[in-house]
Amino acid sequence: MLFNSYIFWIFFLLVMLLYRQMNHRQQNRMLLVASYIFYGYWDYRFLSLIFISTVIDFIASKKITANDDAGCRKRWLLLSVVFNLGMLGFFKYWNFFIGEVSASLSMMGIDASLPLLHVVLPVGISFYTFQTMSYTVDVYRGKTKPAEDFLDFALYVSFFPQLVAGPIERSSHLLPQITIARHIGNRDFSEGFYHVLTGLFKKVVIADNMAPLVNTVFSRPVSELTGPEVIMGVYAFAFQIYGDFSGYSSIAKGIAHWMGFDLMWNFKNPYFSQTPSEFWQRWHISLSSWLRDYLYIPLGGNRHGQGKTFRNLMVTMCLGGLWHGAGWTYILWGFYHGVLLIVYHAIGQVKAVTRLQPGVFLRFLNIVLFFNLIAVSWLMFRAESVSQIGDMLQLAITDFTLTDFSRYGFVMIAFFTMPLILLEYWTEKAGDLLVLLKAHWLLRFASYGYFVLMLIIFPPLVSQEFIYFQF
Amino acid sequence: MSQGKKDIVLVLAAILLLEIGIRLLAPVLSGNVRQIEAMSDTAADMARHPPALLFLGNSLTGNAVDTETFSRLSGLKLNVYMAVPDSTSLWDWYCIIDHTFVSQGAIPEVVVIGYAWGRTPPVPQRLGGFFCRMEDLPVLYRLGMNHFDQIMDFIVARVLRLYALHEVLQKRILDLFVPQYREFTQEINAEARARKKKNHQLVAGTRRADESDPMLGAWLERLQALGIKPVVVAMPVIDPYLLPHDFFDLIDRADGIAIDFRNLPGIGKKHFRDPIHLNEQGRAIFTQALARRLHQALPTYAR
Repeated sequence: MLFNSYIFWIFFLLVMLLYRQMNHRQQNRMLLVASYIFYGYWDYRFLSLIFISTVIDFIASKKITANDDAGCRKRWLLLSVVFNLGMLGFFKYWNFFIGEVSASLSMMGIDASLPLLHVVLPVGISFYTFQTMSYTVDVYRGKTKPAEDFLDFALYVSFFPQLVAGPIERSSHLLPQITIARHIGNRDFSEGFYHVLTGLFKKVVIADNMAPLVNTVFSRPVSELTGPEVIMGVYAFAFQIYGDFSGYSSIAKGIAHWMGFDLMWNFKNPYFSQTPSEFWQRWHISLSSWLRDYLYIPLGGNRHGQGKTFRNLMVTMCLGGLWHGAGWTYILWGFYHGVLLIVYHAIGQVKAVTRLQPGVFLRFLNIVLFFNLIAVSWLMFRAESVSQIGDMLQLAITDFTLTDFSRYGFVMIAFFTMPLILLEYWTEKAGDLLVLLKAHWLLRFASYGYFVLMLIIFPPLVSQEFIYFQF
Repeated sequence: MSQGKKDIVLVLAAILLLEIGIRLLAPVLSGNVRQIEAMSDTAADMARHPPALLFLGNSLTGNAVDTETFSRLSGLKLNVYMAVPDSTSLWDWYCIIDHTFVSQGAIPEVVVIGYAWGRTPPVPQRLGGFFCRMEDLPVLYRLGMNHFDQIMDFIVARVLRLYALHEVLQKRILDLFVPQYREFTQEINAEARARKKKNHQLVAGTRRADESDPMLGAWLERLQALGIKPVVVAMPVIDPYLLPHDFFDLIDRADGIAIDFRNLPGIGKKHFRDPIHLNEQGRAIFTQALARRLHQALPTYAR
């Protein structure tokens, strides 16, 4: 069920009606059933996968805590990691690796007919496997106690607001909210409402209206495009993916609030970032912090000199790219982000730079520059092939023919995104992402009225699926 | 009042204000809304001046038929009326005949529709917003408007005129702000349709091009029950299309008249102002041909 579908809201209304009548334990059981119904609605065949993953990780964590023998504890941890990564690897990467191995063997003159399988990717598998792995690792590290109740743990794994596209919740944050009785205050409702309304706006109005522009630019042969048209398409995608993903996270956070849960912030005005490090503290925060804690730091982080720091950054970002999809474009995207991190890291070491206190204008320039660097990464992310990336980049920097189509596209982008940019600028200046909730009622009336008007008038002709569902 | 309740009240107030505004301004904003509202006047006039022949259709028919010329050349003892709201189809006409005409006592002797391309999907917002009522839902469901989202769209449009008109408003607003909005949006949509068609062709089991149209059958049944003679004209357009395989049988069984003008002699590409709408010359040829044909086919009404 898409969050912007009628069926979801009827489902959620029923869940809430039951939720309000139940005690804590009943709420948890009902939410578990509801979460399995939610997930089964996508494809009931994959309910068994999430259940098996839940069982394995629950047992593994119990065994880890019950054992003093380091070897035994490690083996249980490995079981969890191998199973989750194995599942992810099979469903997501089988055909990619088989294809690459076949191609490599062909280049060596060996004709190997390796089996390609028509594997359907279970929705949300990248998210819930990472979530459960983080739980097992945290139990192993002693950072979190294992869940006492299997059904509570099952709810942690399958909690429907964040099941299919995150945020990837740490057990130390979400599990206690499951095991302890929740209270829903007035603030929860108004905050939840704000998240849901802005989330729907970002998804339905911005992301879905950018999609036709993006699809047109990226499906045309590059020879039929001009440089500004490529730039327009890339900017449109930058806002499509932001609107889509942050919109989903917002709605997830909002509906969770209505049930008394506090999910983490997954996006914090990322396009106001001035450096890659800052960007990764603002964009898909749950994934970037996961990669930092479970990959970058275990590799050594920045503790063993500059060379190893750069290596660790690059490995982390390349694997982060691969997480998004089985394709060289995603790996290239990750590699590019690794390069950005390394370059900015190196520049940041220069004393003259560290002493700089950028004024307003310089900060603005930094933001614009960095947005364009990020836009280049989005070109890689969205492109159909590595050769398309090269061709489009070349065109973008060599051809400046402003066409009517590019003008049309730029104005469409501005029309849909400027109000959101203004809202985010305000929250950025105020240093408070929820500043609208504290504003005068007239301002809230105008803002909410605008969101509602746009939601009613500007749903696109064809509804688009959430981009991150494919991950 | 808690902040949460205040916010809900604010949003509802905003929706109410916008809804009132749109109900007042709709005829000003949209020519199509004016056309739709004018149908009531047409029906009232028809009720006062029987017997009548009604052209019921969309812009395809509106561009093809000159009612004055038709009236003169057909020699039929029928007052000729036209109700051709843009972008409508059999789904809409099914409701229009009852709720706009029959409900005002305007029951024409003959209804002529311009038909093309076969089975078309319903547009629930338009049906719910303008032409149909809640009690039509079971029939529409049976005829194929049976996806949950379609039913919900119908109901929301029935309640919120703002939603029913959202496509019109969208186009109006974006026309104001975006250069060449319609031209490029049509181009983007055409490319998207071509990509979709190409993807579907790669998937086994494409729909048969001449599949039966249940909506046509239902509409014919309805007219027969009302004692109205149906005339279904397969319209000329530039790109050829197939009719439902049971097109002529269905119309025959309903004691109707089927006219196949897809390849009307005298109509060529130069008689179209776009891929589907006839220009003035095409209109003249079409009107003459239809008038002659109906003069022969409806001897009961001939002068």
